[in-house]
Amino acid sequence: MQTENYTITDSNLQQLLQALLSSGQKVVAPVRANNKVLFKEIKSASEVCSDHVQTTLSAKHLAFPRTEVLLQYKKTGKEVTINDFPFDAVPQTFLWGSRPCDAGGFAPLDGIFNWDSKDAIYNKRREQLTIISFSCTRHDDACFCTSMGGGPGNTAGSDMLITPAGNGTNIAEIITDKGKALFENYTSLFEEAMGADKEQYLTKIDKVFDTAEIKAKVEAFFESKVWKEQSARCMGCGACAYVCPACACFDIQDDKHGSKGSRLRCWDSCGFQLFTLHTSGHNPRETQARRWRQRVMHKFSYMPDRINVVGCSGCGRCSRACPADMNLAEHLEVIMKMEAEKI
Amino acid sequence: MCNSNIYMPYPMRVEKVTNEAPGVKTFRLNFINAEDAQQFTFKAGQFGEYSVFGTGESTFCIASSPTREGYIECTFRQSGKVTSALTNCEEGDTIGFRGPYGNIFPLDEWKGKNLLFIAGGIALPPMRCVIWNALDRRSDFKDVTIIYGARSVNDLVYKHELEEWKNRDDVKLVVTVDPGGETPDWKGEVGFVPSVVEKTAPVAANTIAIVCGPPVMIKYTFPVLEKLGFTDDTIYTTLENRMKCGFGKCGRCNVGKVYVCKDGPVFTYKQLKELPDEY
Amino acid sequence: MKRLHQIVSELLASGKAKLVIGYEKGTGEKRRPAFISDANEVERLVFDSQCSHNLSVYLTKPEYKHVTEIAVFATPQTMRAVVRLAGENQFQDKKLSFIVMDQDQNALLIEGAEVLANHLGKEKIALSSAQEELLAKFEAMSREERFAYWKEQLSNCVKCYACRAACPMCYCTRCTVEVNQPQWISVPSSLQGNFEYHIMRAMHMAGRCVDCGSCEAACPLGLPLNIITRRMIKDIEASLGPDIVSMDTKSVLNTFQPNDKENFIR
Ligand SMILES: Cc1cc2nc3c(=O)[nH]c(=O)nc-3n(C[C@H](O)[C@H](O)[C@H](O)COP(=O)(O)OP(=O)(O)OC[C@H]3O[C@@H](n4cnc5c(N)ncnc54)[C@H](O)[C@@H]3O)c2cc1C
Ligand code: SF4
Ligand code: SF4
Ligand code: SF4
Ligand code: FES
Repeated sequence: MQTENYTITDSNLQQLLQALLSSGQKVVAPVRANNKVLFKEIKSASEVCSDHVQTTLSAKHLAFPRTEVLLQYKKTGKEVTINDFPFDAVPQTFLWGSRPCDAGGFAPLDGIFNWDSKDAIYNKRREQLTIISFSCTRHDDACFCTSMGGGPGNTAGSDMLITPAGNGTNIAEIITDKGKALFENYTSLFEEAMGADKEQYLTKIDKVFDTAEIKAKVEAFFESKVWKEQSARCMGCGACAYVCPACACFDIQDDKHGSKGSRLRCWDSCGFQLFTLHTSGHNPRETQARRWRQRVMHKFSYMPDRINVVGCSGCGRCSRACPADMNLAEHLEVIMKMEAEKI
Repeated sequence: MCNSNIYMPYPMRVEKVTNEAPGVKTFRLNFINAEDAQQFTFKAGQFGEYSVFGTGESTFCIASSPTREGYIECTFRQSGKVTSALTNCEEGDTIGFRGPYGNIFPLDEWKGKNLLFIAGGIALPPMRCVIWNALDRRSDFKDVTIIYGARSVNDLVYKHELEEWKNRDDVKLVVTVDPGGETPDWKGEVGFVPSVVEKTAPVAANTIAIVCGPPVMIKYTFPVLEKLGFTDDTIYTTLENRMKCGFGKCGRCNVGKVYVCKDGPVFTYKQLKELPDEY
Repeated sequence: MKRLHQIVSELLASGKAKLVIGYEKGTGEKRRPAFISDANEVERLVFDSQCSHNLSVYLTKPEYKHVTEIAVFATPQTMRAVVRLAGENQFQDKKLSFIVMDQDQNALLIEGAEVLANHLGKEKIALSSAQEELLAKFEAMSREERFAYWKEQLSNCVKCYACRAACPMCYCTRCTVEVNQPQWISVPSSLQGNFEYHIMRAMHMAGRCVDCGSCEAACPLGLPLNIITRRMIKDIEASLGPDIVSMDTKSVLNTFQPNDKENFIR
C-alpha cells in the first residue's frame, strides 16, 4: 500500500500504547535490565525505555525464538504420537519501539525462511507480528545502517513508523496493511499530517560504503590474509550471532522427559568450532579465521547472491556486544580500502 | 504443503534390521500412515533426516532404489549420539523420517553411457541407491563397472548384494580390501581404491564415474581418473557436510555460495573445483 | 610508550618473541587485543589504565597453541591467570615473556612465568566498593530471594558462551558443553539448561577462578557472573584457607596426582 502520513502527539502515543495493553494485547518493548536494554513483554506503558540508542538483543526472537518447540511426541510402547506445532496458539504481538534497523533486520530472516520451502512456524509468528518502530534521533559509533541501504528514518519492515518531531508531536507513517489496521482501530488519536519533512528530525549517519561494493570486495579478497589478521582477537563465542537481527543459523535438538518430549530449534552460530565439525572429527572450517570469513561472506556475498538480500541491517549490535571489540563496520572499511596487490 | 510444518517427520516402522559390518546396520523402514507411503517419491542421490524421538535427528542418504516402492532403506555407521540410539532400535520400533531432500544423480542424462561406480567404506549406501536404480533400467546404459573397497573383509557392507552383482554377467564387479585387511580365503583384490582403479583402467570415453567415499579416498581417486582421461564434468561425487535442516535454512552446510543440502549432495568434480576448500 | 615500544621491538628482533599479544586503540575510548609479529607495527601498541582484557586467554586457544615464543601484556589480573595456568602445566612447551606496568606506569619486561609469579607476590586483588556492596547485598538475601534473583538473571542468558570464551581458565579442548554422549548440558538456552551450564561452570572454576572478571565483562547481557565466582572463592577460603595464586600451591579443590588410585581421572 501507499504510505500514509499523520501526526500524533506524545500523549496520544502513550494512549495508543496504553489502549493496546488495556485491550489485553501482547506488547513487546525495550525495557531496562542489568544496565542493558532488552525487548521484553510489558504490562504497563511506564516500563518502556526510550533513552537508549539500541537494545542489546534484536527483536528477532519474536519470529525466531532462541529456543522453540517444533513438535512434541509421546511414546507408548513401540508407538509414537507426534503433535504438530500449535499454530493457533501463536498470539498476536505488537513490537513497540523498535528501530528501523530492527524492522529492516526481518528482511534477511524472511528471505532465509522462505527461499525454497516455506517455514510455516516462522511465517505464522511473523504474520502475527505488528511492528511499530521509532526513527532514530541519536546514534553511536557502532551504527552503520546507511551503508547497508537503511537509515534512521527508513520505513522498510515497519508497519508503522513514528518520527519524534519535538514539541510533543510525532510524524506517524502508516506503511502496511497491518499498520493500517492498527491505525483504523485508534483513528481518533491521530491528526492530519503537518507536512513537515521528517529528515530534519533524524540523526545523520554518513554512508561510508555500499553493499554492492562490499560484495565485490569480499569476494575478491576471499583468499586474503585479512581474515586471519582481523580475527586474531576473535574468541569464537556466539555473542555476535545471537545479538544480530539477521543471523538465522540454528540447531535442532531433542528434549526428553520420560516417555514424552519435544524437538527444539535453537540459535546457533557459525563462529562456534562445533558448528561444522563432522562426526569423523574432520572440520571444514577449522580455524577462527575461516569462521570469521564465513560470517562476513555469508552476510555480504552469499545471501545477496542466493536470496537477494544483504544479511545485515547495520544495527551495530555485534560490534557493541563483542567482548574482543571486533567492529564490523571498521573491518568492512578496511576491506573496502584494500588494493588487489595487498592480498 | 505451504502451511504445514516442514519439520514434521513421517512416522516410520523399522521393518527389518540387517547387520552389515561391525557397527554398520541397514534399516528397512515402512511408512506407518498409508497416505504418506502413497504420496512419497524420491530420486537416486537424495537424503533425509532420520530421528529417534528424544535423541535427535541424523542425516543419511536413502540407500534403497526409487524403483523399489513402498519402503525406504538407510545404512548407517554407529558414530555419535543419534546413530547410537538408532543402533539400539529393534524391529517394530517407530522412528521419524523427513525428506527427501537435495539434488539427484542425473541418470536420465547418462543414458547410453558406461557407468563406473567407485565406492569406499561405508560410502556404498548413496551408491547402492543409484546402482540399483541403474540396474533396474539396465538397458539404458552400456557397461556397468563397480569398484568397491573397504578396510577389511569384515568391513564390506551389502555382502548379499555384492554376491548378486558378482553373479550378473551385465555387471563388472571389483572388490578390494586395504593391505592387511584380507582373510586367508579372500579372493578379491588387495590394495587401496585409487591404485585398484588405476589397475582396472576403465575406459574414459563415454563413461560417467561416480565416486563416493572418505575424503582421503576421493582426494586420491580424482587424479587417477583424470590421468585415465576422465574430464572433471564426467566425475560425480557426494558431499557430507554437517546438516541440520536439509532445506537451506539452518546454514550449517553452506560452502561458498552453495548449500550442500539444496544444491547437493551430488556434485561434479568440476563444480567442486569452484568451491572453497570448506567441505 | 617509548619504553614499551622499545621492549617489544627488541623482543621481536631477538626472536625471544615471535608473537606479541598486547593492546591497541579500539572503538571509541576502548582498548582491544592486538597481535603483532612485525617490528614495524609496534607503534600500534598501547598499555594504559584503560587496558582490561585478560590476554592470557589467547595462550591456550588452538590458533596460538603452536606458537612457542610469545610476549604478553599483563595486567595484575592477567598475571594471576598466567601463574595459575602455569601451575596447571599449560605452558610446558612455551617460552613466555611478559610486559607489565610498574607503580610509576613504566613498562617492565619479565621473562618466564616463574619470575612473573615472584613479581606478582601473594597479594590479593581487593574488590572495589561497588563489588563489595553487590556481594553484601546478595549475601543478605534469603535462600528464596536468591533463587528468584538467579531465575530472573539466568532467564536472560542466551548461551552464547562468551563468558566461557573470555575466561582464561576455560581452556579444555573438549568442554563439557561440547560433549553429547552423555548430553551433560542441554544445547538450547532454557532456564533449566542455563542453570545447568552456570552450575557446571562454577564447579569447574572452584579453586581455579583467578577473579579477573573476564566472564562478566564479556557477557553481552550484563549478567552478574562474578557474584557466583566471588562467592565461591569466599566459601572456599572460609573452609579451606586462603586462595593464594602461585605456581606451587595446589588449587584447593583439585589435586590431581599422577599416581591417583582412581583411574577414571586419567
Ligand atoms: C547428505 C549426507 C548423507 C549422509 N549419509 C550417510 C549414510 O548414508 N550413512 C551414514 O552412516 N552416515 C551418513 N552421513 C553422515 C551422518 O549424517 C553422520 O555420521 C551422523 O549424522 C552422525 O550423527 P550422530 O548423531 O550419531 O553423531 P553426533 O556427532 O553425536 O551428532 C549428534 C547431534 O548432536 C550434535 N552434536 C555433535 N557434537 C555435539 C556436542 N559435542 N555437543 C552438542 N551437540 C553435538 C550434532 O550436531 C548432531 O545433531 C551423511 C551425511 C550427509 C550430510
Ligand atoms: S567476533 Fe566477537 S562476538 Fe563474534 S565470535 Fe568473535 S569474539 Fe565472539
Ligand atoms: S551483522 Fe552486526 S551490524 Fe549487521 S545486522 Fe547483524 S548485528 Fe547488526
Ligand atoms: S556470556 Fe552471558 S549470555 Fe552468554 S552464555 Fe555467558 S552468561 Fe549467558
Ligand atoms: S542443512 Fe540446513 S542449510 Fe543445509
